[in-house]
Order: sequence, then structure tokens, then C-alpha cells
Amino acid sequence: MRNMNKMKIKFLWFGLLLVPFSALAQPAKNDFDEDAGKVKATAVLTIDQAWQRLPNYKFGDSLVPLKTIEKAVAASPKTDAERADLAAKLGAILDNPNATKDARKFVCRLLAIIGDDKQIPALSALLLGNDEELSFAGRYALERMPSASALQALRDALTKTKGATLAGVIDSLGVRGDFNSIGAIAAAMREADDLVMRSALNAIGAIGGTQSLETLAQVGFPQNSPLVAVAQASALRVADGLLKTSPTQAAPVYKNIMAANSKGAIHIAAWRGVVKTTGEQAAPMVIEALKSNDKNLQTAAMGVINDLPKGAFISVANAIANLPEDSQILVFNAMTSYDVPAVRSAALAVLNSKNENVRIAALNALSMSGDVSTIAALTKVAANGSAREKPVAQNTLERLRGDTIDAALIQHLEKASPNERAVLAKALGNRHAPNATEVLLKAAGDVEANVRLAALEALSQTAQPNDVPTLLELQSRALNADKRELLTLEKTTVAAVQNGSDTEAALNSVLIALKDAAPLRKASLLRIVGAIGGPKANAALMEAAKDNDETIRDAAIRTLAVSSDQKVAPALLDLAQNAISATHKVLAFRGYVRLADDKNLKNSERLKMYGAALPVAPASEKKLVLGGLGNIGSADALKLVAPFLEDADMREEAAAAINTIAAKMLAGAVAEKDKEPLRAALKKVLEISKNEAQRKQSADNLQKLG
Amino acid sequence: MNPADHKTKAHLSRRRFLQGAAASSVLWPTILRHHTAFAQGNEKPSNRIVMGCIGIGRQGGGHLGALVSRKDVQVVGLCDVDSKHLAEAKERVGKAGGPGVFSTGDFRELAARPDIDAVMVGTPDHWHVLASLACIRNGKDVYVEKPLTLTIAEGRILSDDVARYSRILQVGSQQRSSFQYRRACELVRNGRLGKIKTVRLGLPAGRAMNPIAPQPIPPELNYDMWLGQAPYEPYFADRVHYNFRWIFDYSGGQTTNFGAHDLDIVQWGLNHDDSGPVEVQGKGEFPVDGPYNTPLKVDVHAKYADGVEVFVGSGPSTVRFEGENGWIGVNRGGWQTEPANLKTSAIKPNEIHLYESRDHWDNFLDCVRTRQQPICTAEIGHRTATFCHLANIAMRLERKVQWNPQTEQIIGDDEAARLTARAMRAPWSL
Repeated sequence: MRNMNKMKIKFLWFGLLLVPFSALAQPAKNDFDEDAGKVKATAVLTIDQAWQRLPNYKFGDSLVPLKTIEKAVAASPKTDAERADLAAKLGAILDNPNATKDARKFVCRLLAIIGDDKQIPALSALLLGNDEELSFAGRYALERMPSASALQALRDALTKTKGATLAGVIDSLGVRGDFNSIGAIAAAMREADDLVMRSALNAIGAIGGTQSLETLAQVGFPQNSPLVAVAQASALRVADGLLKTSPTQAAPVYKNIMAANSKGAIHIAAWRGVVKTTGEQAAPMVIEALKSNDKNLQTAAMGVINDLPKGAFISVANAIANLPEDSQILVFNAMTSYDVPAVRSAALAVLNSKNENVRIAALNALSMSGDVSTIAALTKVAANGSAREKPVAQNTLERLRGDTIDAALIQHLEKASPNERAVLAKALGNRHAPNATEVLLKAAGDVEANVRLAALEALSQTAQPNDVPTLLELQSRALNADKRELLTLEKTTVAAVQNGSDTEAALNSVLIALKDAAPLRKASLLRIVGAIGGPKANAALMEAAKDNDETIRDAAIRTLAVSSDQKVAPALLDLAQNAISATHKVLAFRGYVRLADDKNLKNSERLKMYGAALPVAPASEKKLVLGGLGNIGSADALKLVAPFLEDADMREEAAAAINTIAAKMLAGAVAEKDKEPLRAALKKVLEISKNEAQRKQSADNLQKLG
Repeated sequence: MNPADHKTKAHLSRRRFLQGAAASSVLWPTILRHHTAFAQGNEKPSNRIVMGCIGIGRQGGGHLGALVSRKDVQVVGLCDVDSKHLAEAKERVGKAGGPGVFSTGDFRELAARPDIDAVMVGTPDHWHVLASLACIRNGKDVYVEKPLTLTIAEGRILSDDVARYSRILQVGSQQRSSFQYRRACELVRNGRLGKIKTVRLGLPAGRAMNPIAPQPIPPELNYDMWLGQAPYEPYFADRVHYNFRWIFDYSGGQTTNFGAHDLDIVQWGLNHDDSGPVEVQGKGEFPVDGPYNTPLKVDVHAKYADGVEVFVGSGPSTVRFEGENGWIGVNRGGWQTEPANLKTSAIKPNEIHLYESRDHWDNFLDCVRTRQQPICTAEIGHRTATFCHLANIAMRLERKVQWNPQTEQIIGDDEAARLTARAMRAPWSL
């Protein structure tokens, strides 16, 4: 138990750290169930008591002795002598004729971690014994014990076991990579069953090295035997292991397997090996495979393209135009991550292909290999290509890499056709090109509407606060333009303010423009001011909300109504009562209730706001307040909601709110003083609600309340 | 010639390929699915990917449901050791209008079928590698649930075989296909937090149960097959199906369950997809009694070679990267940054763009067709699982474990090294 207190503190600290994020944490249901089971308190045993009880352990008994010993064995710092002592005690259980089978199995698990040579005789005895479970338990320990004696015990078992036990022993020797066992394993295959032969072939592959290759080469199976593929798979594994250190030994293995009419996955792996050992000369093989109708070979070729030496890779890229269209698509996709001129040339060469899928694959490939020279072609496709090509070409333009790309795009924009200007403006925006603002501002005054719109949208990514005066000029000219353009301009102006740190000066320039603006422009400026926000913006909006001009008033109230700034709440409540138009009253009221529903507020603050809202709520809006109060779920909220049960028009909404409040209150401990009012409200719901679900919920809540 | 040509890695091995992607000289393109020829709905029946499913209980059954509703997939083979699962799954495939399906309790039969292109492996963890290997060696592509492995040794062999047989393998760490995780990692990789100092994770609690007597094996369950490579132990209902994960014979508790998700994001964000930490120490709170033996609570501290420290504690699943200029916290519900405007920080074309997948299954199926590497390869899944296993080993041994991610060996600790692999019950072997 040492350090547990320290650990508890750490857990607590972690919990605190993550509290602000706990609301975001929603583990997938099928990955995590919060219902972590608890184990009944069990007696703590001393280590001596645990050792005493271990020999008698049977599955179903308490595991406290086992866990106590496991902790001592694994989780404790030990000297070599202490480790040897623990291992000896474990070994003694194996030697104890009265120890249960379950205790022995458990001991073997621990010996896998700390066993030493002294336990090997007992483990060997288990391995060679007749009990299948204990035999495996013995091997479970021996396989993980690194000593030569453990290895020798496994080797010795080769001639003393058969069937599944022998297969397991062979597998363990394979895992140990025991070169000295290769001959014995091969011998064990003679007259063995299918399982042992498979295990032996696999183990020889796992051991690897030239001796394994020689052994595998000598193994003869009838051509139609399924073991041929197993032997080939092992040879491939060995050859792959030799690739780095001795490729000349690996190469013939691959070739021989291919020559032996290998099929399917084996053939693909062998072909891959031949390519890998052929180096720079591999390109013709890969090109041939890509040209073939053999899907398996094509798959193999696709699997090696990324591994080809540079020269071979370029040769394949240069051959793309001569490949079948399906292969062209595959190769372009494979080469999408490479910045190689040959890929660029090949992609440009097929942009006029009749096959749309080829063109799209080439456009994608240019996203990495494209350079300044590809801008014209990409722009043309993005502006005038097919519906599927356009977004791909646009995306590629936006992702071209290099220090000169932005400047080249700007140059193109200045002399391009209208559709192309729109494409280039969008690309510059999405590239966040810092030097593009000037040309985009110019394009925002273009004669073509689609160019203006694209430029304005792009400016939202690049414009800075010092560009706001220019944008306001554009705004003054856009008042009678398409509504979408005006709204985009407003959003872009707001974005320009927010893109920089000096928002004050930018806001001031908007406020100055606001002073003398005509109503239509003023309405637009108010929307901008509102989106920027802050005390000055709020003051301007509140003042405008009382303007004599209805256009100005309407814009101000609508802007205030969507504000998320709590500071405008009093103004909204006032407007909810005193605005001239009924529509504005409702809008202001809804805006106020939305602010009251802000989950960042304390419940007491929200309650206060709802309390202020209820007396002035238009009849149609009271349901909104009741719903919000339900979400608070407190006795004070109940007090506000309960009277509405008497209101025939509001009864059902009040009933629903009361049930929600009750559920939230009942999730914790309900204070004595709150029980009776809650009970009364729930009974009332039961009595008067016409909604069966509400009545049932009320009855359930009453039952929980007791 | 493009100046970048000189640094292009045109002959990247699988491992170097990952390193290249990380080193920013390689850009992952955005190949949006609707930009390809493979968006659902365009497939002729003859172009559908023919699939089999191995393990179709809780998690695997969920995948099966998604697969049978796809127009670009045809499920023709089902395998489960629980005949009830199998019967329910057959009915689901039938209701979805699929033709008659082949069904079996032995995955080797399914893996050997020549008509199957790809296989979903949704078994308990101790079967992930063995079932995947059988499929890979029979020329199938594989979508396999996380954690990829039961032991460190398993992962090396599987990853090597995937390369050897030129197959596609996607590990079901689907957080990689979620926007907020990718964005978080992209911002970290592009230095928005400055030098990363620490990463903090929360893992949900594990589970314990009281000792229980053996129960009769239900007739629908081939229990010996369910146990597979693991030592024989008596049956009780809460050993199998979902609860297998609380026993080390079959899994690694929440360390490998949720750890496989969240440590995967750590590895991605820190650019260690082909590597791992160099030391891991830990202390777990383990069940004091009963058959479950994986940690109930975890307290793990790991360190990468570059000095970045990872702290894993018990708490809601969340990954929090902390750097010299702020932090980014991300989980399935969303993400937060400090400073707040990091969220809108644009990743420019010349910066590092991580592999973008918007749907884990779409990504896998597209890769089956294009033969491209998926977003969570065998190597990535193996390295993530290795981190999880090292954490469990450190907690079991209550000490610091030194790890060499290049040689994939534990350094100077014989006991810890012994826990990196386990003997398998015959006839099972890697």
C-alpha cells in the first residue's frame, strides 16, 4: 500500500485538471461503460498468509492470496537474491503434490516473469505431462524465460511430445529464434501430422537465416499440397529478413517461388521481393505489371511504388501516359504525395484525357508536384471544368506549395477571365495569402458579381483592421447590390476587425461612419457593429434601438436580439416591454430568454432573469420561460413554475417543467423543506395533466420522492 | 526544377514514408471522397467491395450494420464463435437485401475464401492479430478494431506481413478521422503551441468483479475457440464478450481500450507514428480480488526522446497538448484552445498538412480501391498499442521501463521484457 495516498492525491489532481473538460467528454457507448463494478472489501493478507493459502486455491475462491503474491512477485523492487527466493517459493508449489491444478497454473504465469533455472525441471515435467492445461502452463513459463536452460528444456521436448503439444513446443522455439533447433524441428516434421508440419514450417520461417532457407528448400511436398504455400510463406519471411544484410541470398528465394507457379498472396509477396532486389532496374517490371490485366499483379505493383528507388520511381512516372487508364488513376493516386517533375509532367499531359477519372486523379497528383507552371492549367479547369473536376482543381490550387505561388496567383488574377478571377480570388483567400489583400480589394469592386463575391469572401481570410475603411467604402457602394453581396461584405468587415489585434481603431471607424449614414447604410453598419461587439458597440445599438427611423430600429433590435453579451440583457428586457412594434417585443423577449439560458451563468442568476421575464412575457412566449426554468431544476424554479398549473393554457408546459425539475432535484438529495412543495406540485400534475406520459412521470417522481 | 525536388523522398520505405510525412517535405493531399470515383452510389454491383466480417458481437455488429447499409460493399461472409451472434447477423444481412451469406465459426474458412476482397475484424482483442494475419496471408485487406494487438510482439509481425503481402490494413482508431483531433494535431505539428512540453490524458475507470464460480458454457458458444491463444480458464459469462477487456489474457483494460484511441492522438500530434516513448513508468490501482486484473485507475508518466512528457491519469477521455505558448484540449465532444483564437489559425499551404480522412470506413474502402495507405496503418496501430502495453507493463511492475523504439526492445529489465510477448496455446501461432 506504499505510495497509495500519494497516488490518490494524483488521481484527485487529475480529476480537477479535467473538470473543465468533463462536459466535453462523451466516450463512445460501446467503448466505455461507467458502471465500473466494485469489489466487496476483502481481508488484507500478509504475504506469509498468502503463500500458505496459495496451494489450495481453486477457481472461484477469493483471489486475494494470488493477487498478494502477484504484487510481491511483479510489483516490488527486488534484489537478485529476493527474486530467486520468490521464484523458489513458486517452484515449491509446483513440487507440492497437494497443490491444486489452478494454483500450479497461476504459479506458471508468475514464473514466466521471474522464473529461473531452478524451476525448469518442474516446468519441464508439466510440459511433458498428460494434462493439456498444465502442459501449456509449463510452456507458457519456459518460452518467456530467457536462459539457455529453458531453451534446452524446450528443445528436449521436441522428441518427447506429439500432436498439439509438439506443435506448441515448435512454435515456442520459433519465437525464441533458436537456430540450433532448425534441424530438430525439420526432423520432427517427418511423419508428423498437418498441425505439427505447419507449426514447424512457420517456426523455421520465424527463426530465419540461411540455414532456415536451406532447410525449407529441402522440404518436399506434393505440388498440390496446401503445405507448399505454408513453406513458401516461411521462405518469404526468411528472405525478407535477409533483404538488408544479404540481398543476394534473398533474391533467388523470391525468383524460385515465382517460378514455382505460386498463387495469390504468395505470388504478390514474391513479386514484391523480386522488385526490391532488382533496385533501379525494377521499373520495367512495375510498368509491365501495371499494364497487365492481372489484378493481383497490379495490386503488387501499387504496393511497391512508394518503395522504389528514385530512378525507378521516375521511370514509372514517365511511363504513366502509356498505361491503361485504370492504372493511370491508381498510379496518380499513389504519386499524390510526391513532388517530382516527372509526376507533374505526366499529370499535365493527361488533363485533356477523355476519361474524367484520369483527369481528376491527375489534378489530385498536382497538389504536391504542381508548381507555378501549373497554375494556368489548374485555374482553367477550376473555372471551366466539369462539376467533379472544378472542386478538385480548386483544392489543388489552394494547396500548391512554394514561396512563389501566391505572387503567381496574384499575377494571374490581374489578367484572367471573370470565372478564372473568381477561382483565383477564392484560392488566394483560402491560402491566407498575406500579400493578396490589395488585389482582392480591387477585385471586390470588379464589374462581375461572381468575382466581387469571391473576392469579398477571400478578404475575410486576409483583410486586417487597417483595411476596414476601404471595406466601408465598398459597403457604401454595395447597399443596392445583391443582398448576399452586402451580407458578405458585412461579414468580411467583421472578420477584418477580428483578424488583427487592434480592433479599437477599426471599430471606431465603423462608429464614425455610423453617425452620418443614411438609414439603409446605418442598418448595415449596425449589423457590423453588433458582430464586433463590446461596450461601445452595445451603446450604439441601444441608442439606435430607439431611433425614430424604423429601418434603423429594426436593424438595431434584431442585432441586439442575437447578441450573446449578457450586458445587453437589461436593454432587451426593456425592449420586450416598451418596443413600438409587437414583433420587436417578441424578438427582444426571445433574445433575453436566450441569454437567460446561458449555461455559463449560475443557476441563481438564471433564475433571477427568468423571474424578471415571466411578468412581461407575451402570452405566446411563456412556454419558453417554463422550459428554461425546468432546466434549472431547483426548488426556487419550482416556485415560479407551479402557479402555472392553474393556467389552463399553460398547464401541460408547466407539468412538463415540473417533472423535469423533479427529476433533477431527485438526482441529488432533496432538502426536507423542499419535499412538501415538490410533492404537492407532482400530485397536482398527476391530478390535472391530460398527458399520460407526464402523469406517469409524475407518479414515478412521487414514488422516488417517497 | 522545383527547389523542393531535391528533398523529395521518391523512394520511401513504409517506415521512412511515415518519417517523410512528418518531416514536412511531404504533403498529404486532401482527396475528398466526393472528388473521387468512389463516392457511394456510383458503384456498379460488379465494382462493389466484397467483404467478410469476423467477430460480429457488440462492436463488430455495429460495423456490420454500417457495412450492410452501404452501396459500395457487399457482405458475403460472416464468422463468430457465438452462434447467436451469427444467426442475428445473417438475419441482418438478409433484411438488408443481401444474397445468401456464407457463415462459419472458424475464421480460417472465411479468410481462405477467394471471393472476398476485404475483411472486418471485430473480435475481442486477443484475436485481432491472429485473425488479421490469416486474412492478410490470404490476400485480403483488413479493417481491424483497436487496440491492434494483445502484445508488442504481435504487432511487429502483423505490420511486417501487411507490407510483405502488399495489403491495406486500417486500424479502427477512428478518432483520426474526426476533424477536431486532426486539427489539434496539425496545430501542434505546426508549432502553434511552441515547443510541446507535456501531454495530459484521461482514461475512464476500469472494472472489477467479485470471485465467481465456473458456469456452464452456453451451447451457442464455442468457448475453446473463443479462448484461442489464451490459457484455458473456466467459463463465466462476464469473462467473454464485452467484459473480456478487464482480463490481461485477452486485453489490457482501459489502458488499451481508450488508450488506443487517445495515445494514438498523442503519437500523431507529436510526430511519433513510427516510434514511441523512451521511458514509461506507472502505478495502477488494480482490483483487490476477483478474476479481473487490469487497472481500475491509472497513473502513467512517459517520456519521449525529445523530452516531451506524457501524463496519463484516470478521468474523462481527453487529450491535452501543453506547449510554451498555450494548450489544446480535445475529446470526442469538441476541442478547446488557449489562446482561444488558435482554433481559427489557418494552416497555410507550405505548412504541414496531416492526412485528412473524414470517415474511417470511407477512408479504408477508398484505399482498398486505390491501394493507398489508410490513415491508421498497421505500423501506426502497432506503435500506439505498444505505448499502451508499455504503460501496462510499467504499472504491473510499478517501475520505470526503458524502451528503445528503434529496436523495439525493453532495455535492462528482464522481467519487463518477458511481458512483451506470450506463449500461445496450440494450434495458434503468429
